[in-house]
Amino acid sequence: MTAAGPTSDTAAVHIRDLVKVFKGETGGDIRAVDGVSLEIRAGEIFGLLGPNGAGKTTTIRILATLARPTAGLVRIFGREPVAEPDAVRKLIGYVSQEVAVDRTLTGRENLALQAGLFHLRGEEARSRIDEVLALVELADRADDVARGYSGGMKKRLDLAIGLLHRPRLLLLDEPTLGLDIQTRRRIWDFVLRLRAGGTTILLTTHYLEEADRLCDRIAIVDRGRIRAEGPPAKLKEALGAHIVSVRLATPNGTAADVEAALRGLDFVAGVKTIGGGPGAGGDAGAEVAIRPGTSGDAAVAAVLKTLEARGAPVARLGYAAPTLDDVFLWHTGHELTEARGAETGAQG
Amino acid sequence: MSDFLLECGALTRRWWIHFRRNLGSSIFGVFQPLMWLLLFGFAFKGVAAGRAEAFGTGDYIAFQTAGLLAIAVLGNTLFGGVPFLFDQESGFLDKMLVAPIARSALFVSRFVFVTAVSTVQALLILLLVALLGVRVATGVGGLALIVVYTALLAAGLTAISIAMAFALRSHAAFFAITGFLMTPLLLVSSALVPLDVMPAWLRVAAYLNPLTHGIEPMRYLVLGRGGASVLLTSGAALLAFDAAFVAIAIRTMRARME
Repeated sequence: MTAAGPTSDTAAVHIRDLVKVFKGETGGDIRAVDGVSLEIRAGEIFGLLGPNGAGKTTTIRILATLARPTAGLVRIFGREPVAEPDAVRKLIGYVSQEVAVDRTLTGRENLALQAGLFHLRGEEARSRIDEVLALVELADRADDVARGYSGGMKKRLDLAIGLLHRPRLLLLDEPTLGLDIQTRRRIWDFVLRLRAGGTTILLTTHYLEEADRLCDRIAIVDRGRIRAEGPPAKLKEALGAHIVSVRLATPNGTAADVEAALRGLDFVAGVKTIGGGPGAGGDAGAEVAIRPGTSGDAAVAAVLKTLEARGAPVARLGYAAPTLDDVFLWHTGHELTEARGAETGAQG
Repeated sequence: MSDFLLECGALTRRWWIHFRRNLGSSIFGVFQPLMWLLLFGFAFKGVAAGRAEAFGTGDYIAFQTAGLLAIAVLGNTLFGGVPFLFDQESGFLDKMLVAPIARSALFVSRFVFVTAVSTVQALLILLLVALLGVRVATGVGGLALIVVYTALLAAGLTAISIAMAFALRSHAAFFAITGFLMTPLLLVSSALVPLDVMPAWLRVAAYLNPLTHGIEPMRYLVLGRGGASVLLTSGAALLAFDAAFVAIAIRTMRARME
């Protein structure tokens, strides 16, 4: 047992050593969440960034009282979801990844149903419904059946439903998945306004831009574990002033001696090799983090020279200030977009 | 208004809006039991003639009336859990489950709605058979009791349907099992054939069928013949059936947390 720290009661979310194991379809166990610990402060926007299947949704569902942890401790404003589900349900708003509105009901009827389920009555219910309809800019379509709404309108209605009871913590699972840029910007706007009003927000995303622009802090999640955590700017800074990324022409991995040679360069802060051994396929190469104060041109030239001297022909070479994609790559050994592509490919 | 009533009210209103906005299929369902009247009532019209001892009446349609009422209840209740199957698929079920509501409110709202629909159907059926000369022998009091037995029969059957929707989670499995249950529940009961003319084994099976315990009291109330004690014995049987399956349904819903 981990003793609860002094901050754990005041934190919006406190997660310690969370594990969730599902029984797989074929009998084997799937460790969807594999020892996650997190602390989310009241009033911040916290992002879980990772590919599909990383364990983000499972973590959110445990917080939302929809799934039971296999092991570990979870507290939301000091309350445990399994022990006191109804107390937690009053504190949270949950907006799932798929749009979950009743399409047979009008927008207003959807909200009236939610008001009843959260014990809002009479005038209070009516004024809150008008308030959230105005917030998501649906007031003029409130009395139309939701079946006729566009995708973006349905998502906004879904958000309004999640906000109606004024939750202290809003759980947004992939809030802008599949939405056009305009709608996405609009939703970011709502989220920022909610934070300004004091709501704590936990969102999952696999959009780097979303994590970068919206979140005060993020955790990079991959295969059920947290690989890195912090404010996006700090995570990028930690990689050094610049990143030289190289991809080799031969896809059979980066030999250990190449890595050692790169590490030996005096301006190199760190090296992360990418790609497996022979036959692993995909890209092979390295991410080389450069110490601040180094000339970029000199660093690129030196990296190129080192690789060619070791007989590792370079296919592509990039040089830039670190992006969140670099951060993700650095901590997981693969690119977020690659992991996502493989995942959606398998599903479709 | 208590929180619980507020929850039940909000959910029942949702079912009513669904019923209204899908009026075509709703009306189709309301009139479905009449098919049995057409198929059996008129085909067997003469079968009860001269056998009032077994049928309690010489008019098969008068005999069959209680059966039609029960068939209406069966059709409504056995599919009473279907909205939850669709909600599961659309993700809307999670929205209801993350609300701080009593899980029993989900059951109660369906029960209230299904019983209301069944009651309207019962009145329509009674109106129709009245045109064919069948009168409720026990009068207005009997009519009120028919509504009570409609509710008693509906509670347990609705609970079974909801428990299956939550436990099975798949449309295919749900409809396979309900389709499988429908025929024996209907035929191994006194809906279309009196208990007295059944072979002993079938009669035993029919007594174990909750439908029979809905039909027998209603038949007594329609025909006004036989012992009034059936109101108590079958009423008790239905209460036991309801208590058992409502408990199972609520347990199944509570266990829904993954």
